[in-house]
Amino acid sequence: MIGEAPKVHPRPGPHGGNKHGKTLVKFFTRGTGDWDMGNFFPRWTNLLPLKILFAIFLVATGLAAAVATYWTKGYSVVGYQPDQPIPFDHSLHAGQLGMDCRYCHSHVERSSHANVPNAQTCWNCHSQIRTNSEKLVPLRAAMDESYAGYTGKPIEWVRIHKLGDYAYFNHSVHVNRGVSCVSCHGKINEMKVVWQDKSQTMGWCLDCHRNPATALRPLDQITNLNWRAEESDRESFYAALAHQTGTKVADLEKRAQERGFETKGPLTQKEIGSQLKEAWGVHPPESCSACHR
Amino acid sequence: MKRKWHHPEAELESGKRVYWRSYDELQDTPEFREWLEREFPRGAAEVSGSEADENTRRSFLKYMGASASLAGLGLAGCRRPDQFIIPFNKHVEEQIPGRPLYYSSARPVAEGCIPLVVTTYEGRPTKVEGNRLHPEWKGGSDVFTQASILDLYDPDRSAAFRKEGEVLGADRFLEEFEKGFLEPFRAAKGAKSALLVGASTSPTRDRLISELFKVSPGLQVFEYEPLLSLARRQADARLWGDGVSAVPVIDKADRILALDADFLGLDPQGESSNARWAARRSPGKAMARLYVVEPAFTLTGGVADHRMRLASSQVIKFAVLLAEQLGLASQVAPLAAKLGLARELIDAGWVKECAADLQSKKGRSLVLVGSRQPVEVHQIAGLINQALGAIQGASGPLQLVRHGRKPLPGIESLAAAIRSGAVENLVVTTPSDPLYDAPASAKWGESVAKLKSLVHLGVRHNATGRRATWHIPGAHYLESWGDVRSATGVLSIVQPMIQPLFGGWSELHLLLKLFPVPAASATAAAGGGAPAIAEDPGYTAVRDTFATLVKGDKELAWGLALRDGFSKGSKNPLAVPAAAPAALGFEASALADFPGPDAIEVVLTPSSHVWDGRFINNSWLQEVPDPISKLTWDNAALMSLATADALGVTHDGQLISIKGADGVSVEVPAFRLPGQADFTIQVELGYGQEAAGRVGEGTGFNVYPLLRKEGALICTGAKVERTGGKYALAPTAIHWSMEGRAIVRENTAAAYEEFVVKGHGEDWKNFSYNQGMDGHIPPNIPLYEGPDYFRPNKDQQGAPLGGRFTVDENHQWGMTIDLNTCIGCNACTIACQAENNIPVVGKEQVINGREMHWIRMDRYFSSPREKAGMTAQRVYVPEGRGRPAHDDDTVEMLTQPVACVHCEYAPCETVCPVNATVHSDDGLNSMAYNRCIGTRYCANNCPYKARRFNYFDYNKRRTSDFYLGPLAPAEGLGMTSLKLQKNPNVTVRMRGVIEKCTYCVQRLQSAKIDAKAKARDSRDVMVPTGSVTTACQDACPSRAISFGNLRDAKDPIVKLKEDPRNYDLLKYIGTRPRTSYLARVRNPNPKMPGAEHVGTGSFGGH
Repeated sequence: MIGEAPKVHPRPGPHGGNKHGKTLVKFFTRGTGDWDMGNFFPRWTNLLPLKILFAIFLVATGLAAAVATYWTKGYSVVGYQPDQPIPFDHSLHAGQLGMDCRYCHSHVERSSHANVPNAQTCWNCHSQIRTNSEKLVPLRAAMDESYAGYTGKPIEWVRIHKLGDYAYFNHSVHVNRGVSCVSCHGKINEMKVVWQDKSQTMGWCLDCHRNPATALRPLDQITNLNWRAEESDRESFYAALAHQTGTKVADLEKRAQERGFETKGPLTQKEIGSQLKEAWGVHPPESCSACHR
Repeated sequence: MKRKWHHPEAELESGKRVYWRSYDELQDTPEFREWLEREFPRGAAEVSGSEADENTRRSFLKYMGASASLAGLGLAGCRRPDQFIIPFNKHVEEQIPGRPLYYSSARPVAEGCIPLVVTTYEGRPTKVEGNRLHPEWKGGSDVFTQASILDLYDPDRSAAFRKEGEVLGADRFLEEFEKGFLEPFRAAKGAKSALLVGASTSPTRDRLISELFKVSPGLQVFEYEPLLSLARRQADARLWGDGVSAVPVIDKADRILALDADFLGLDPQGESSNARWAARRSPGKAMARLYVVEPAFTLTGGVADHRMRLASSQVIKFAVLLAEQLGLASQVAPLAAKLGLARELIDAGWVKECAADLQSKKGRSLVLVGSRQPVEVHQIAGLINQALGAIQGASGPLQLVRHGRKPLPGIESLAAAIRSGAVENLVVTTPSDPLYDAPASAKWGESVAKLKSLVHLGVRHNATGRRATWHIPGAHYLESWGDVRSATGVLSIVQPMIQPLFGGWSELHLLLKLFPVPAASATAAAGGGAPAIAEDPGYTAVRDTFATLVKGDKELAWGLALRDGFSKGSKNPLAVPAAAPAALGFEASALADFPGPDAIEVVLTPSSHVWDGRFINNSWLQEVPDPISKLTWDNAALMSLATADALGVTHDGQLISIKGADGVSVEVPAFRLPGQADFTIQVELGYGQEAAGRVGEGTGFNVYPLLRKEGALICTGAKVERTGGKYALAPTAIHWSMEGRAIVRENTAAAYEEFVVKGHGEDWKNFSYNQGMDGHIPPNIPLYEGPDYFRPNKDQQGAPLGGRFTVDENHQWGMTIDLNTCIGCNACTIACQAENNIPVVGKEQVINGREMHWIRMDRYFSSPREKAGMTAQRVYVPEGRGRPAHDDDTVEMLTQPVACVHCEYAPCETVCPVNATVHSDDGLNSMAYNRCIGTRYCANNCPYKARRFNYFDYNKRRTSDFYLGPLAPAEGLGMTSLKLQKNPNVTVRMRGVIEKCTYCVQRLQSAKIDAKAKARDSRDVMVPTGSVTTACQDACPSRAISFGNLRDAKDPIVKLKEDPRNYDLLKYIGTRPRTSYLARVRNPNPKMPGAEHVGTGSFGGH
């Protein structure tokens, strides 16, 4: 190579030049024949289209990945925490005061819909307690006829959990068959202002419908949001189950061992759930028509 | 290119029948073949006509641009919109959000009521069902009752108080009405005032009217509805005394002869007649036999064992001939003398054998006469019934019920009183519309002009309402308190389900207003200090009446009546007939000659869509195909082929003018139907109203001008000619055709005896099971493995049911439909529409074949196959005559409701590209609407043509707005109230989605959920036997539809599936449908002429 003239890119001339330059120039000087005047594209522009394409590809891939991850219900609805007309504090009522969920959501065991309580339910206590609280003004407006701002208009609570109109969920069948409030709503008893805790997408529903053992618990613990399988007493759990199903504890334990549980040490959710699933014959539907009709 | 698979054709057998739906099918015309070879009818998938004009490419681009810019706007506001949950302030008793509440009520009809149970969700009624506790009805309802819920929410209902057409607020109206009408009325003690009411059996109304007479002695009361049978009332009074009516009890009769009486269809008589009739049609047990003499096919004629077509005006001659055969010659002698040609033209053999058969079951035979027949026929039938021993107190098939109501004078007397000046103020509460439907003899328009004031109370702002000085919006029966007695007198309370949506008044409310106001409450009545929610004044009135009608603890009785839907022991007493009926003074009105080409007989009938016109704005009723003609949205002049030939009618829809005997003329499109008496034209009343509302506007043709006298529904001597015009009708007879395969099956009672009762081994299969191709089913080799829902796999010991498929061991649903008791009344179709939020699509869309009914009511005609000149599967078509040689005298009719049959091996499921239609573990072929992308492959592959496609947003838009672009407002004006009717447990489908019968999956799911919620920690999750029903099953008045759990040995469905009459549709293609059918059994009298052709079933079968 030594001695040879350094290879420089020849200035594109009327009879030479690289392919791109020529094409570009030709394009702009078509018909005039005077190519020098149109040479305003620097050489680096030759690869520009490729670079742009690559950049678009990167951005698009990134965007798609971002949308696929973040524009899903797991991110878009979890954490939805609207302001309510009355800043009702679940952590106070259900947590500190230990009120049962069903005191207010009274029809949850009978209806598809876990009712938001009538103003009368609040009024049962709040006609006596903290009657002058600023926060309770909408309640007094609804219920207290002696109150100056009485309108009689019901309280408009902001809806937090919402399924598609084509999905039909039923509370009663879940709470009567061993699924706790906490499985779908999270630890409401610790929330000062309620937010949506679970994505409640179809995939999330099916996770549980396919593996109900992950959620089942004894029926007397449904509204105990602090219940933990690990803290349950093994002996009394098995004794109660044996009593209820009319079998022997030993048989139940044998079945658990067949399914790979050690039946020793602290109980696990899996062990409790799979025992209850078998004992109660829980077969959650997986057909479309179970929820879509 | 669509592959055409030709099903093998079955062998033809002589002596059997062919089944067809329309003359086109019978002739196998090219139009018919084209129609049926497409998966959806022509036009259904294509943009045409106005659609093409609207959706040009340019407007498409425009919309696309607009929606893109809107999307940009939408993104800016990314926040989730707030939705609110608004609980009641105070708990409403019994109300649980999300659970329906059921109340008993009753729908009042002219001569009785339909007892009901109404489903309400959060205070809005969504569905009505028959009351199964009612001692006389035991459930079931009819098509009008099912559709009446839509009337409640009709956005075109009268919603405003009007004075001389001007809308006034309720308060101001009341004030002015008080001053302008009520005060003068009370002051004059009703002088020169009259009340025009509809027919009703309400004890409270009777009481109020009689009390009103006491305080307003000048008041006169008249009664008018165009379809009342004045002749029957008159005959009953003459034969059995005043205040007595003869009520047939169909299940007590072994032999029934219906003279122009559609007692199973549009001319109901007695109570629950369909169910009672059905109860007597079980083959193998003493089957009742039904003879029908009628001018045109009715539902009753369709299920008859022997049917004679005879002009309506000639039925009296048949009655006379029959009376002679039954030894009553002397009583009918004055009429017999004038029979004329009848002795030759009416088949004497038919009359003789029919009479002999009635005679042979003395005491168990019954003759029924249609409402429109003249009083003489009713009287002759009364004589015959007495001679046949039908009247034996409570045990006979005809019971004389003493209701004690006095007949009221009719509209003709009222009109005369108005014209003579005796009546100047008129209060109209009749549900009919006299300005539209009054007979010519009343000269109603002229009479009304003479009135000083006209008060109209009506649910519809109809012609009378528009003419009225004072128009008061009426309350629907689901909005007001009332009471009603059934035909035998069982008292039911009409309970309101909801406050009047548009503030209407009930009839009782208006009557109470006519009473003098006690001084103390005068201010309250004038509107001073009205409570926030007005108490229905009818409530107190109904309770007061109730207290006078019951004995013992009235509070308890009231509670029980409300709970059960009837008051125990309230039946009316039976009357004892005089031993010898009073001498019958026959008026011997001149017997009309047989109709001919120059003197056509026109029979005016109640409409299967709009009744007498009152349901004109009910879109469900308008769109449900007429059970016989299959016409939607219109009425037409139905005529036989011979009549059409004589009048030069060559195509359906050609307009003809009908000129009545006194020169009045109406124009109606012609429609040809088999089985009709020649030179008799049948037309439905109630159409062609000017003040109809947005649904009913421009539908059909008004034939009320032909009604010359009150009750004169048979017009003889009409001149008919073609006018040259044409009119587009929308019949659905060949939509969703199943190509003449042995879909519908029947056989005779004799064959049942031979093959089933006395048969051995597999003989029973010769009854109906092997008809068509089913005797030669090739071995079925499925390509795909599917679950067996009933037998565990033998190879896998201890494996769960269904093998590797998930199968519900507790529930497998199945249905049977008994063609023997199904008469084709459409109640199921409408009940399904109400339950499942099925939209209407409008006439234009019906013409395109896009109707959405999940249950299509197939109607087949059948005729005996002729021996010579047969083409395969088709009857002989004589050269050059251009019409089939079927015989109008032997044609029979069958009906068959077909919905999705829920195949276990469903062809639709395998072709769905997105798994939107899949099988559920309880054996349903289910649709996930939110998954459907609208390829329509499933509909293409469905051998039963049971799938429907939403070509437009039928649920969101009015029928006139479908073709507007996507940016046009989605909801038409005033559709909001219709939303209240929707069943909250069923998805409202959108455009581009396939839908079909789901076996009412919402009911199944809620039953299963309730069972599980009740089971709690036990394994007992099976739905209790018989606790879940489908909407069609509930609505069926003859209990033809059975539904249940095939895994529940106690469920009656299990037995029905083993019935020898049970067969599957298209069994040989191996789809294993869950809905099966029970073949019809006809019970011909072997001695009757032509009996050998009756009900012999179709080809194949050997």
